[in-house]
Amino acid sequence: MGLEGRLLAQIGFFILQNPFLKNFVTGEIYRGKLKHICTPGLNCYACPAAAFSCPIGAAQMFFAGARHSISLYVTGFLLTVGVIFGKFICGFVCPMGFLQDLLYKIKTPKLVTPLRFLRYVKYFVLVMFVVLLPVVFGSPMFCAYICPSGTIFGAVPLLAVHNFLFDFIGWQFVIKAIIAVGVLIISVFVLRIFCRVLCPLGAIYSLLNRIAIFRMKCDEGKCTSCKSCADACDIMTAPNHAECFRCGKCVAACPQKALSRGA
Amino acid sequence: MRRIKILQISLVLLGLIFIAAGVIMGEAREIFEKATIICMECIGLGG
Repeated sequence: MGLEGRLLAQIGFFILQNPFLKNFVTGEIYRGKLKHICTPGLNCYACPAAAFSCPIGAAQMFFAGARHSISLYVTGFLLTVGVIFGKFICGFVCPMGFLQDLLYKIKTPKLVTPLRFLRYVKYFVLVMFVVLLPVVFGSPMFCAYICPSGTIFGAVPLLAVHNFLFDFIGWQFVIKAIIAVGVLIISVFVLRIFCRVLCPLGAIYSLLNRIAIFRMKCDEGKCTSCKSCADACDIMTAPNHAECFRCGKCVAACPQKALSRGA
Repeated sequence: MRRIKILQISLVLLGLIFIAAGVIMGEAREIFEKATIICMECIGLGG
């Protein structure tokens, strides 16, 4: 699958996860049985069009709940999806990744950087905002204070339809709005800044990426270690690195045709 | 390579067991109940 194929896959997965587009007009959210199921990407369940539940939102609900428990259902889901697909989910399925990819297509000078230290922030976000702070404060702290997916795909469409919601805007929303706008602006210049620095779901998939079943395959007989793959990479990583989201630029760049996607 | 395959299969099986256990314990229903209301806190509009 080429780079255009990935774009088509992202559009397809976006619509699959958000098929109820007319809800953007009515301001309702989908309340059907599909919401028993988590989606692999960061797709806010307060988004009017969303068909499934966000695994990070669901995980926090259990940590913040009366029992302060870990959810076996969400943990099992993320473990299964992560081990099978790794960060392929980020590259092909996640709506938030798709939005950032679209913004990065805007013709401007780009800052190509591995974000060598900043990329570890997402593990801190995972531990603090998804697990510890929800347990301590009984509130879904990542959703409440950080998640730009909830702001962009949930809050903004709902505010546009339900004017009374403006009465609830406070400093909490201001923080979220600043983060969301910051992510949108920086995404024009730096590829997937949110995925690489802040996303707790990306952190989980990064941890499992090196052992994922679906991965970049390298024909060792053809590979000459010329590093064309790393040079072509927008995030300056090698294939199957913890940060590699299987975009496939390295496949196209390899002069020996040694790389391919597969299990 | 064989060790990685065993690890992959073991983790997927463990994940599937967790999913089944979670469903039996009613966690999918709890998620459904949360996901079918507009959670104001979840979109940053206060609790």
